[in-house]
Order: sequence, then structure tokens, then C-alpha cells
Amino acid sequence: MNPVLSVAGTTGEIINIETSRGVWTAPPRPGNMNCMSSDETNLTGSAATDILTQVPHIVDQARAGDRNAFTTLVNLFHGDIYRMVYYRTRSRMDAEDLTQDIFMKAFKTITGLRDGSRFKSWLFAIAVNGVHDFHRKKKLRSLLGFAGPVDSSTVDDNAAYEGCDASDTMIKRDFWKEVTSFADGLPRMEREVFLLRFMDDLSIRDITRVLNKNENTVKTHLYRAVGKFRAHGSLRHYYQEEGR
Amino acid sequence: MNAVKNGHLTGDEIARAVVDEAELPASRREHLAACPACRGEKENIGKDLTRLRETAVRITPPPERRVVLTKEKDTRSVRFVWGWRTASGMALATLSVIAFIWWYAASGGPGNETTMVAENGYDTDPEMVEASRIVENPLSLTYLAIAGESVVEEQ
Ligand SMILES: [Zn+2]
Repeated sequence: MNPVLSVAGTTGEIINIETSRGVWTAPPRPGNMNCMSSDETNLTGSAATDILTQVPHIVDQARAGDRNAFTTLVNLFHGDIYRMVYYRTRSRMDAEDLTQDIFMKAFKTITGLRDGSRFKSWLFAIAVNGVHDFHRKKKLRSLLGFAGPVDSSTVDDNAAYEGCDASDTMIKRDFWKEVTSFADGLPRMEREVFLLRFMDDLSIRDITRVLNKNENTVKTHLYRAVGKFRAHGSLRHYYQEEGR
Repeated sequence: MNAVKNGHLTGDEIARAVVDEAELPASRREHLAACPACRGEKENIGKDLTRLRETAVRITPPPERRVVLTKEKDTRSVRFVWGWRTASGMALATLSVIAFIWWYAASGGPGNETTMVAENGYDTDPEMVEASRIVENPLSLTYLAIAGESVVEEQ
């Protein structure tokens, strides 16, 4: 029996994916629900586990030119990539643009991916490069005086949390401020491995592939970053408030 | 409880344990297994990191746009916009040059200077005035007349 996942619908619609344990419905993409969380594509449960085990096969189909298969991959990983970019840009608009670019780049180059089991780390590698490129260009624009007078992430945050309860908005802004304060205080490689491991939830093995570093190097940077996290007390207040 | 007597894990060892417990030397792993304080600290950091991720996921503003797979992506529209803007700019620049030449010819300095010379009597020969106009202006008297200029008053 062909275990291939069938995809009903296209991008922009609710996706139903048949698995051996039933149909898994990808959560609908939230629209303009600013006070709601980005709870899309949270792969949990046995059906979701089934899907992830099918990823290499879906990748094979996508490599063979099956557009629907690639759409399935987009739906499976869109949330992960969007959030990954948002954590590093703090701008919804930039995160949307970059996510689009990342998937388009993946779409164009997926034929070069030989091992389908490495799709996630391959996709994250494209994303990491995309974000670095974004920051490089932003810095260049700033140096050349092309940057706007106000940080786009601040403007974007205002729009993103428009209509939210004021105290709720304050907590969210403070949370991001603390996260940024902590992450920006880390050396570049420590910051990247910390974010990939503890914010993006990648395994150490995946991180070695994303960054093309050996395991010992990744672990060493992680130890150091965790040690600094342990000493960074002010973050705890915010996630304990939110975590209740 | 010899393991506990070996001393509590240092901050660095706790951090190593959070990342990968197997990285600790066997004696330290034994201590960690036997010491509630060290194990508690390690677990608390792990929980804090989990909460950090969960909070970030929860309060990330949801995207309003979705990925659209196109063969040429947005670059096609970007190129079109760029091309359209460039063409518009060039057309505007060309029109501006033509308009300037027209304006210069119709009412510009050289023509007036010539007229002034003629009116001041330095050169009252109508043909010379005409010749001067033709030299100074690329447009003939006929076109100047069409443009609303009264250029034959010297007659
Ligand atoms: Zn201890």
C-alpha cells in the first residue's frame, strides 16, 4: 500500500492529510487575529508523528516535481519557519516576506537535496542564511542612510498587538525585550545554537547539519549559552507570568 | 551517598547536564542522580527553557500572509514594477527635455536678444533679423508664430 499522504486543498485552505491513523487536519492559518497566538502547524499527537515519518517520502515526491507534495511540506513547516524568522527579526511583515523567500528558494532547489530525511535541517539552513542576509542588507541600508527613522519591528509590533489588552501587550513586549536583551548579549554562534535548540526546538544533530559544525562545537556553544541563561534571572519573571 | 559527598555540580556542569547529561563524567552523573538539589536545579532550568519556547510560540503574532508558490516568484512583478518605473521616468525626462527646448525656443534668451538688437537699431535689416532668428532658434518664424510669438513686428 502506498503510504503517500494525500493533500486536499491548496495553500490558503485547510489541509487534510491522510495517515495510517486517520486524517490529520492542519490547523487553519490564522488571519488578522492579533491577540491570538501563532498556534499553527503544531505537530502533536500520533497522527502528526506519522506525518513527520512520511516527510522523506513527501520530499521524494516533491523532488520528482510533485507540486502538491511540496505544498504539503510548506503546510507542515510553515509555522516553524515563520516563527524562526520572527524570533530573529521581531517583525511580522519581515517574517512573512522572508518565509515566502525561504520556501521559494527551497522549492527551486529541492532537486539538489539528496537525503529527504534531512529536509528539516536543510530548510532551516536556508532560513538561517536568509535571516543573516536580511540583517546584512538591513545594516548596509542603515549605513547608507536608507533606513527609516523608526525600527520596523517596533512599528510592526504595534500593529501586531493592536486591539489587545494593554497589560497583555505590555507583557508581550517586555518578554520580547528580555529575549532580545539576552540573545543579543550572546556571541553570534552561541546565540544561533541557543535559538535553534531552545526556541526552534531542533535536535543537536539537526543543528550540526544546519550550521555545518561538528557536535562537540555545537554542544560547547550550547553549554556556554545555557550557563548564561541560568544567570539571566529577569527572563524567568515573564515566562512564569505567561506560563501559568 | 559518596556521590553526594563529591560536591555539588558547578554551574558549568549543570549547564552541560541540561544540554546532554551523557557529556558529564561518570562520577558527576552519579552525583546528579543521587543529589536532589543538583537534579532539581537541572530540571528547573530545563523547565524554564521549555516555558521560554512555549511562551514565544504562544505570543508570536500570527502571519497574515501565506506562502504562495509561483514559478517566477515575486521577482517577475518586481521586475515589471522596476521596468515600468524606469520607462515612466525616462519618458518623463524626455518630455521634460523636449518641453524645455520648446520653451527655450519659443520664449528663450537668444531670440529676445536678437529682437532687442534689432529693435535697438544695431541691425535693422529685416533679413538679418530673420537670419539671426533662424541661427539662434532652431524653429522657423512660422513655428514661432504657431507658438503664439509675434515675430514679424519688425516688418
Ligand atoms: Zn548536588
